[in-house]
Amino acid sequence: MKKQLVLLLVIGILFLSFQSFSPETPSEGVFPDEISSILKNSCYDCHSTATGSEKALKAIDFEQWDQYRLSKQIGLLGDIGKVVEEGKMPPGKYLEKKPDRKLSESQIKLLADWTRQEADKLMQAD
Amino acid sequence: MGRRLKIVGLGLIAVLALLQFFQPERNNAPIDPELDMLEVIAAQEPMASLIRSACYDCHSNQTIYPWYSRISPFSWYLNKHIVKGKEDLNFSDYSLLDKADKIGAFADFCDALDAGTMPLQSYMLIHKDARLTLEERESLCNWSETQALKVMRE
Repeated sequence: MKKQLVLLLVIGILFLSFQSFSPETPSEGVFPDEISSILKNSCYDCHSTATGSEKALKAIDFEQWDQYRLSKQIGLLGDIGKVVEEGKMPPGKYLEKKPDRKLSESQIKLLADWTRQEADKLMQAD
Repeated sequence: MGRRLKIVGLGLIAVLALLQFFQPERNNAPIDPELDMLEVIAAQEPMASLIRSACYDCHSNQTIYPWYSRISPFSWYLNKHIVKGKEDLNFSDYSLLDKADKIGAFADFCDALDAGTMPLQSYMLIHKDARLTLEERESLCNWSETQALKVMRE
């Protein structure tokens, strides 16, 4: 009886200690590779948890993407498509300092097309 | 000294008087039932009234102006908020938004109420009926998310 209790305790402790090993940050693979690399190059400086600014992160934090609820994600996808197509993002001031972050025409199209498809997909998902 | 003060005072009054001739355009177009959010989705009560009194002054084409709105420079201060508010979200143009933007607007609406960023503190100071209670914020937030889901299924 005492042995069983010890065994149960050991299993319990093991189980609890496993809790500190959770899967790696799930943001990997949230976006398709092609999109992810564009975002990382042109958007992450301001819109990711590690390096972002408060104001930019309030608008969107790409690293927290999977924390956003469905309605938020769809709205943000709409916003992303528009701001890159209208040339509002990345901002001109930022590009003055880092001209290599400018989006090319093909990158803009890729982002805009993807945001639309993804938004449509999410709307169906509900 | 007394005389100089008098001149400065008179000058100030003259400037203020002159300012009254410069007024921003009034924001009060008629409601377009084809475009207005509350009309289009036939929002139920009490949501419709809450939104109208807490949001519509700056987020629609129908501002209900306080008396001091005729007085410059207050009129310009109000106008600045109205212009900025409508830029962010104009409920009077709801139907013109695409599907993703409608859903996003409802999501942001809920977030702003939840985070307490809206209505603005300065606005609530004057407008008692815009001081939403926690329960009102919660029910508006839930209502808003329901609307977002509805748009998704359209």
